Amino acid sequence: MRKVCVVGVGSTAYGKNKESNREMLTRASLDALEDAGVDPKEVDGAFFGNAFAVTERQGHIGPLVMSALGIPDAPSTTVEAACASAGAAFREAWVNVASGLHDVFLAGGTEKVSTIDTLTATGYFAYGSDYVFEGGNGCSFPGLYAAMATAHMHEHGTTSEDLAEIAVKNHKHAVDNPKAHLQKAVTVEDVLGSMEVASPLHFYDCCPFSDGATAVVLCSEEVAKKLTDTPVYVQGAGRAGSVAALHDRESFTSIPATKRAAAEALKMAGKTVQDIDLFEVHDCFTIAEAIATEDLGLFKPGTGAKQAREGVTYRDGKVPVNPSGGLKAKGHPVGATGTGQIVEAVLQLRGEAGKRQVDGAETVLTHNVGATGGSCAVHIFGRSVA
Amino acid sequence: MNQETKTVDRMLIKEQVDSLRDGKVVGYTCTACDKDSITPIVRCPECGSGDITTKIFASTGTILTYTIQRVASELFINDVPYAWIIVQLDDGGPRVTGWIPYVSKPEDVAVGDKVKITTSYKPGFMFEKS
Ligand SMILES: CC(C)(COP(=O)(O)OP(=O)(O)OC[C@H]1O[C@@H](n2cnc3c(N)ncnc32)[C@H](O)[C@@H]1OP(=O)(O)O)[C@@H](O)C(=O)NCCC(=O)NCCS
Ligand SMILES: [Zn+2]
Repeated sequence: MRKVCVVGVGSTAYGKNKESNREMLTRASLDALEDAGVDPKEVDGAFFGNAFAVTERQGHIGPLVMSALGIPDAPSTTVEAACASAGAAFREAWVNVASGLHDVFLAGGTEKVSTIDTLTATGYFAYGSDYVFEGGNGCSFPGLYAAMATAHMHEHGTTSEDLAEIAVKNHKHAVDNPKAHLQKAVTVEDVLGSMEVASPLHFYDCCPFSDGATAVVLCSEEVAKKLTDTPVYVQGAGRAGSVAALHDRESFTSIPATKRAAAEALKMAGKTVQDIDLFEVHDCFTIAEAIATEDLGLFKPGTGAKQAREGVTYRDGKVPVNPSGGLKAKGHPVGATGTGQIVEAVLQLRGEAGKRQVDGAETVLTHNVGATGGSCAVHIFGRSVA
Repeated sequence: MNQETKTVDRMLIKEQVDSLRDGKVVGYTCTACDKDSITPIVRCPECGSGDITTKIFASTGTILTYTIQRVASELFINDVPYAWIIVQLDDGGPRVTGWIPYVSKPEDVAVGDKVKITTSYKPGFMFEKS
């Protein structure tokens, strides 16, 4: 395998956007290419995440974007892995470059949900579950993570206040992110006083329905060195799956795919999780951040939900988690989220994260989960080769 | 206790769902290691064996975890609030999912509660407290 670099990043704002998927993704892709100093004609192909094409009745988004970029001959493929679609798309692009088959690839994703109402969105989002036994059987997406939260509370004594502290942290981080969907601070009282969506999760424990598109340019080390003196290296790339249905898992408070994908990425990078300076993890719900940080091995099982309360996971804490605001407050345009985390990783490594900058960030880990863990992608980025 | 096994190696999910509606819990079991599953399998996730048969399981069990759904999709919009639960079926059967109508308060449902399957007018299992 060859060394692969990320040389350009692009992202629309997250939130309610006027543009359609094809417009947002074309814009993000062009921004990434311009950031890289790469002409579209040099792109060998693309993988794009897009989970709910049905919202616009527009599937097959890739060729529309490639055509708009003036490269209709370049192959593109839509990757669907629920909320991990773009993380999975990045991994496929990485394989294409690392294998030596191609030199320059785009990876990205897009989602457009502001055109549908809460009821319809809740229905569509449930399509990512095991529909026979979960979505079609009465459980919404928030409901699945709520069932995990109930189990976490039962097993470990986690409280609603603990979870609320995670929302407070990520909302605070998002205030400094000009592209975030919810640039607004909230208090523990706000979270606990908000309506219950699916007990024990309140409105403010959930990520919002966001529009948005993100894209990054991957290339071989050889190409990268011609473009910049300071490329960002993909030090590790990990992918794994877990049993799709929650009820078939041994534990409701752990996601096996996170452990396996992280182990693969860390091994490739020759690192332990303690070597990582900051984490962008999949916090679609507050409980998801707690579980992710436990599965990544940052905290002992059952203690992940206590860390925000103690200040550990704040941007200036010992283990910064989701300095971007995370899915919770930066927003969650499902098919775009995975590469959106990578955009943040690259900005942090380049020292271009503005007020969100984590001082001295040398290594960043991104963690992207599809559904309740049926899919997972973990990537490690750094300023050096390894 | 129902322990009827059939040497059928596959069934349609539709048949499974139809039998659920009649209150009959049909799933799969591995004849090599006794692993049970309500989710369709053709190879055993535990031991890898392909000797999978269908089996009728107990229709009573214990709640392992739950949520009270207050925001639901179209299918259940007229039923909120209700509990969605994961249940360990009795007699060492598999875990299944389902819902209990008319649950709105935290004291109405708890981990460890005993439940039984009732005839449902929707796909999947509907439970009541037993
Ligand atoms: C929580 C939820 C039910 C709210 O429904 P919604 O239709 O987005 O809510 P509304 O449109 O009524 O939002 C009202 C306001 O609250 C804000 N808001 C929406 N969701 C929010 C959230 N999760 N947290 C904080 N604020 C939120 C909106 O921006 C809006 O503000 P505005 O009036 O200033 O524009 C919905 O966002 C949800 O189900 N989220 C989970 C999504 C999900 O499952 N994703 C997949 C995860 S794997
Ligand atoms: Zn077996």
